[in-house]
Amino acid sequence: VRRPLPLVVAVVSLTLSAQEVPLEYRVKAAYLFNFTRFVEWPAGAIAEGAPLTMCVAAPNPFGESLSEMVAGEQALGHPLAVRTVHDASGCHVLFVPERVNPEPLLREARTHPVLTVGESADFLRQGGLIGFVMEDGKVRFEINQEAAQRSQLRISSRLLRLARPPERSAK
Amino acid sequence: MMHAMLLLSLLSVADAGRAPSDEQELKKLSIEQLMEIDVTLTARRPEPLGSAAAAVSVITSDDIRRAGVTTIADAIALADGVHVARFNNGTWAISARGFNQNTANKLLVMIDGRTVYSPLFTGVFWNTVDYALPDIDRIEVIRGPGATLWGANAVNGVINIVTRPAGETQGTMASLAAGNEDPGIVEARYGGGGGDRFWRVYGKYARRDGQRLASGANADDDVDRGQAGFRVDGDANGGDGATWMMKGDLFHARLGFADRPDGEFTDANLQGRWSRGLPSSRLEIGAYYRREYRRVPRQLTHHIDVVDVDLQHAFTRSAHRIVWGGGARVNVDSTHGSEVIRFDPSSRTYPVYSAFVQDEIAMRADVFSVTAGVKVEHNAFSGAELQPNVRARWQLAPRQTLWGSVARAVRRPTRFEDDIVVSAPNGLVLVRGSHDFQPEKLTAYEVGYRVQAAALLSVDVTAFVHDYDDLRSQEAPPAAPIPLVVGNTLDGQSRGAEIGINLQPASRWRTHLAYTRLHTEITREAGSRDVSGGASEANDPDHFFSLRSSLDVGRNIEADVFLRSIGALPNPAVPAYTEVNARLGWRPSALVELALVGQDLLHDRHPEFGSPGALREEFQRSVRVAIVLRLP
Repeated sequence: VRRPLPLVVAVVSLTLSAQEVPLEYRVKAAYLFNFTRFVEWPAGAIAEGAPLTMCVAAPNPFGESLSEMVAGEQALGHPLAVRTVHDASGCHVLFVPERVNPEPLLREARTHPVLTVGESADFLRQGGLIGFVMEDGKVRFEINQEAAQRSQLRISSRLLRLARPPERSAK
Repeated sequence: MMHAMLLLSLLSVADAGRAPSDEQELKKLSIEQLMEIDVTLTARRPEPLGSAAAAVSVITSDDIRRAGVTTIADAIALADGVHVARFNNGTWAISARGFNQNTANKLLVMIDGRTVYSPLFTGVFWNTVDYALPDIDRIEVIRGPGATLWGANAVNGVINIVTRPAGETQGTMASLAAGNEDPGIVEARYGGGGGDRFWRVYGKYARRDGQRLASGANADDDVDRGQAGFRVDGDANGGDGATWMMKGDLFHARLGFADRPDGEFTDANLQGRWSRGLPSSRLEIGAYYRREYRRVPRQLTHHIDVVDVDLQHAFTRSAHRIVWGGGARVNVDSTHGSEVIRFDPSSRTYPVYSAFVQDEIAMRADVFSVTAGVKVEHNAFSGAELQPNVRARWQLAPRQTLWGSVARAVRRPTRFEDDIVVSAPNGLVLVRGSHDFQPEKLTAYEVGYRVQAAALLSVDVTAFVHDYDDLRSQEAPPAAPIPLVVGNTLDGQSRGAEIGINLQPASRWRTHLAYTRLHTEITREAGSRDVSGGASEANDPDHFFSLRSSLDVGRNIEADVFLRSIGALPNPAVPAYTEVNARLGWRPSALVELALVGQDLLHDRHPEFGSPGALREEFQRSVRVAIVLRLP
């Protein structure tokens, strides 16, 4: 999985096109936003009138990208909110960047219905629900069906269909 | 009033297409559409294909791993339009757009943004450019001048070797390879850290056997090389976008010669960089120290200390994307010549200062943009030089880009032109440098077209004309036949076309094809007394071609072929040749990778550069086995 561009690359990439957040993460942010359309949380998991909270474990690789996408948006009748976090409490969606060790976060997330999304090679094996994988320079994703069933979340069959069959190792 | 209104509305439309609304567009895409966006090129907007207004190719770590190469120099041959030729085990000739020589001096080559060409002659001692290959993220190659932004010496191209951030190289990696020409290559790395700071340390050692001369004799150019280093990457707390990086490397090599004692090469560097990226601006500050030491008995021994600081700031104002910055670099060298070559004075300090500004104007958002920029660079040899550049980019359709560029770049004078003294063993001076040497100037015209015809097929075509003025010459003195004096009385032109095609016939089979057509000529200016005819400036094939095929068989077997075919070189004459690397890889588990690699398989041995004769070096067929172990 490609990581945020090393700083020095910016020397070159600044002209190719000035970029702040690498395209890979802007695409991943769009995926996260999209996922909220295809997942249902059990009744009561999100308090009445409270926002559906999308957490990003620090360091947040999205910059302002994800916040800009969800600003003013709703899902399942809840406004969307983005938070950079160090633990999983209060999260409905939790994104774990590759350089963050997912284990303690996933352990914590198991206690309540959280859509966990990660990008490290072992994320699904460690119990994560959705894992981004790179395929020929494109962002694709895999779903851990077993963990999804355990989590009380309902993931739409459309999303399940689009997911890449797991196990094929990412490059 | 009417005009003002029109202008205003144009600007605001353009504005609407930029930074904030990009996210609005992106989020409207369906999952199926998101799945098709190619994110590997560093484009800012969600364009499926690189829309960069330049001739770019990116060599990925996977490309390197599967190409069967053992050095960075050989990996550069994977880029479109770059001619890579070995001269011996310690010397390469590498150039884009022609003017190749084993002392080629018109490329800007960097590792993580740190310049690695030698300030002594602005060429690269490729035998000292090394890294643990699995920890290289990619190699970005831009053909044509990039002087406005990238800086000193980006005349014929820019090569940036990008290593992986430490967070991406966690755990233990050990790699071993051994074969008939490479008795041992060992690379090891350990990465640790967590939270907001990651680090790695690595070391490598490689030995290569001497190759053969055309006569069949051993060239005795066996190599031992080793490198060790570290890298630390960190984030400022709270994810406010500020990051920093520190790294350092120490390289040492020994190279054998048939006719003299061993040579010795050392390269050491320490580099730091801090940057902060906000949605509308990005600031970056970097500094490095580098020392190069080189000893070739009976030729030249030198060391150079380089200190460099630079700053870049990029920000967006309505339809304008502005990047500006500057830098200062001080080179301090000390040379010990021999009876055949020396520098006068033997030690010299030469700073280079530069400043640049560039504006990318979105004339019609996401459809048509123009980029104009200029760089001013002051060097100790010839003073200030202006290097302007104008580029235009037209997005014909979501997957089609047309671009064009006109740029001026200069290759600044160096000690090789200013201070060199070449003598015969009897003390007679043959060639002498001149303080009147002026920079070599390039005006380059390029057009390019890129299309992603289907998910399975993309094509990238570039045509170029490079006009060179004041190329280095060797002038006969008015009366006596020697000494020749270094001058500027040659002009040159290179023109040609480059095609790169990605074709994926099946999901598990990727191919890449590159073809370059090139014509280089050097002419004498009126009044020239040059006697070299430019023979030491360029020796280029009129075409070269490469084909790569990467096939995944089942889940864990990889079969790879890398074929390259290089046309004949005119002067000194080198015959055309075709060579093939092949690799069979097997991953019995996620932790282990085994490979059988063959390099230069088609001939027992073949030459790639240098004068015909019994002493020209020829490179032998080599086969090796390799194992890579990874522990989390």
